[in-house]
Amino acid sequence: MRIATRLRLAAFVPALMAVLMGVGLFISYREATVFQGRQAVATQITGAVADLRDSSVAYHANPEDRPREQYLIVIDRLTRIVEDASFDDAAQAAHLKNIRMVVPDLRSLFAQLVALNGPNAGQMDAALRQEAEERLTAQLFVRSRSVRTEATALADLISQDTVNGQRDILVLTSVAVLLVAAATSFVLIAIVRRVSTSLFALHSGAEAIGTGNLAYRINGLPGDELGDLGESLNRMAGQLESLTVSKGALEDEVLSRRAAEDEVRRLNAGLEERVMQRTEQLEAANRELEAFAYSVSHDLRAPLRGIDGFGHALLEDYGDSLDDEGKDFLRRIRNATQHMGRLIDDMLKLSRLTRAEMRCTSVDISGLATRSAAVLAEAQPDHHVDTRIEPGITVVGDPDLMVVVVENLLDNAWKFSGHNDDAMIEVRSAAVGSGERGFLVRDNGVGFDMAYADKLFGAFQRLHRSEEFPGTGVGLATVQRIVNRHGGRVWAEAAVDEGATFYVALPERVPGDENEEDAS
Amino acid sequence: MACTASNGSPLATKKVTIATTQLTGSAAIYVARQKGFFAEEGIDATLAVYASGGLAVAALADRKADMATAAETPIVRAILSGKPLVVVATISEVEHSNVLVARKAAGIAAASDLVGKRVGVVRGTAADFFLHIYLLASGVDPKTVLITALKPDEAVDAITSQRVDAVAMWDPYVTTMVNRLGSDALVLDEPGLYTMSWNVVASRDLTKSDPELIARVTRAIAKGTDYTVQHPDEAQAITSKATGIDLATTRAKWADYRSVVALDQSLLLSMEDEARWMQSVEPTGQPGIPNFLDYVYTGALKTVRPTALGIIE
Repeated sequence: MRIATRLRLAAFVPALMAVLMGVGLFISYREATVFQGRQAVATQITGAVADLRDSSVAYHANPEDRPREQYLIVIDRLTRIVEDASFDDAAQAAHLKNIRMVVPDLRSLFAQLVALNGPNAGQMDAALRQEAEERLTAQLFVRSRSVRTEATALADLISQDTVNGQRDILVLTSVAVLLVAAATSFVLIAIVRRVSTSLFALHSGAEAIGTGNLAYRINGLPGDELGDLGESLNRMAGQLESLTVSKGALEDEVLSRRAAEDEVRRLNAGLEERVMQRTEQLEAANRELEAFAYSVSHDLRAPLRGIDGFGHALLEDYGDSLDDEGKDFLRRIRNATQHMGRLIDDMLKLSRLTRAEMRCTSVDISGLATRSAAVLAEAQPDHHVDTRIEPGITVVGDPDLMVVVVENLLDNAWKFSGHNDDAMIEVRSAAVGSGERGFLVRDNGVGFDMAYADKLFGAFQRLHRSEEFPGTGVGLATVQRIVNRHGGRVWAEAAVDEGATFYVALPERVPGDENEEDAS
Repeated sequence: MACTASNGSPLATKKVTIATTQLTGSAAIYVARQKGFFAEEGIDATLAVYASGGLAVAALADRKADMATAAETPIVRAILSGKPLVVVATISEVEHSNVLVARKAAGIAAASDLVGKRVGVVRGTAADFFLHIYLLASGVDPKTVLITALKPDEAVDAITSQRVDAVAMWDPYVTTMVNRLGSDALVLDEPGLYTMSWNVVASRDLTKSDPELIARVTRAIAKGTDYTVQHPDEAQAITSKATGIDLATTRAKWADYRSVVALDQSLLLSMEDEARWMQSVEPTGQPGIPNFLDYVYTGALKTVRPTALGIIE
């Protein structure tokens, strides 16, 4: 049975108690009415008997009409009362029967007494009449007394019966109430015992499950609400058990992955360390190489200057002694020596560029290009070039290095468009990537084959013969070195005889430069 | 059945002899004996049967019995003759217990015809008193009737042998006479004129020497009375068997029988009236009548059933 049903039943019991008490009170009221009716009969009988005695005494004292009539009235009344009355109780009925038996005697005895005083009385001997009157009066009084005693006994019985009846009703009602109360207590105790037992089982189960014993199952609960709760807890434990298995697998996975990550981190840390070591080694090697190159370049200049000086002295002092071929050889020597000197200078310059400290700021490329074009035009007045420079081009970079970039690119364009009568050099801003600023330098010169584009920025790499386009092959390498130091990019697009375009893209902020705030 | 006193200890059985007459009025005693109420009270009762209450009282006076049952008339007579008796309780009241059985052939058709006739009666009995007041109420001077004193067992023969013209008697003699006379029998009675009380009496000595015995006997009889009221059919059967009166007659006369257990003022009135009558008929030489309060013993009923005491004390 469900707990709710049991509680409803328990709540029904007080209602039953109230009904029982109500029934008890109703029966009590009805019984009281019955008892009241019986007592009323007893009172009427005893009252009539008292009236009867008074009337008979009065008649005995003075045998006149008034007491005679009253006696007859009372005897009629008493007759009606005892004939109408009825009692279920045997003892009461016996008393009523006794009264019923005597009342006619009273009537007949009184009638005989009256007859003794009637018209024919004179015929009787006076003494005889007197004795007859005495005897009859005595019998009348005896019988009256009997009726009175019976009536009193009846009234006593009825009173006792009333008391007993009320006591019985009280006892019955009390017993009924006690029974209902006992039933209520029994039901409630049963509910409490059952609930407490179930709660204990639930508590134990919850404790076991809560402390990790997910295999624990709550059994033996009744099919009520707490039983449902126990089933729910069992289901929950089952689900927790399966989830815990998954969690274990996940934890193993996490542990293995964490170990893998640790291994990766450990390897990465070693790798970075190795990279740093290698970088440091490479930087040291570079520095040594650059120092070596610088030393070599610097040290080579003196002998070259000696060769060129002695060649010049030889031409000046012994030129007449040489034939034309000898002189030609000597000039070639000097040209080669001077070319080598320029190579060395460019190398030194390139070396300095890579080692000089950068101070970045906003650089006016348009201005630099304009000034550089003017210098080139002045140096080669016979070479007419249509120079188109977009104003307002700025980038973020070291001003001195940017001068070198712009001069080399314009010098390059100027040089390779030298054979074109309608030479044109264009400098303008270029569309570059996000976070970059860029510009391009375009000429309509000889261009080059893009198949060799990978050699374009190599040092001392040349795509044209020096006789046709003089140069050391260091200019574009220098440009690339400077752009790289700024963290930028440089590339070219060209086609043979269709000119070339060089793009420069520089970051709006140069990484690691302490003056980048100024550049913004 | 085990007998215990009120304190729970077993009652010592007391023997008692009760002198009785075979009358319906003793129904309570018969029932008490039959239903074991005497035994319950620790009484080993012996019922000694006598032909009349007068003889029973005489037996009591002669110490042939411890207690006796009798109508108030022989009791009064015994008291007037100085017997030390006391009434313990009235155990019934019987109407029509005494009647006149007359022979029609003697020329008796009504009470007035009794003048000059021989009427037999057991002197000093309730029948004697009934005859007297019957004659008075009928306007017949008792002195004009020729009274013949009979013993109870002489009555039937006296009337059937025509030694008397009528007999004032009680059952079972009345029934026997009526049956014997057949159509010649005439029963004369005046309804309501006389009601006989049937009483238990004891010697005054016994009330002093063993009041407990009297109380136990009274209690057993009271139980018999209650049982009689509750189970009238069974009581009638028991009474019929005890009295020898056939059951049909017993049942027919049961309506005249009132079962009581009491000591009432009405008994005193009856005894006093009958004492006056007796004094007028047979003067004892004592002035006035006795104080009958001295001849009722209320001790037993006070113990057994105090509500049944109607004596003004």
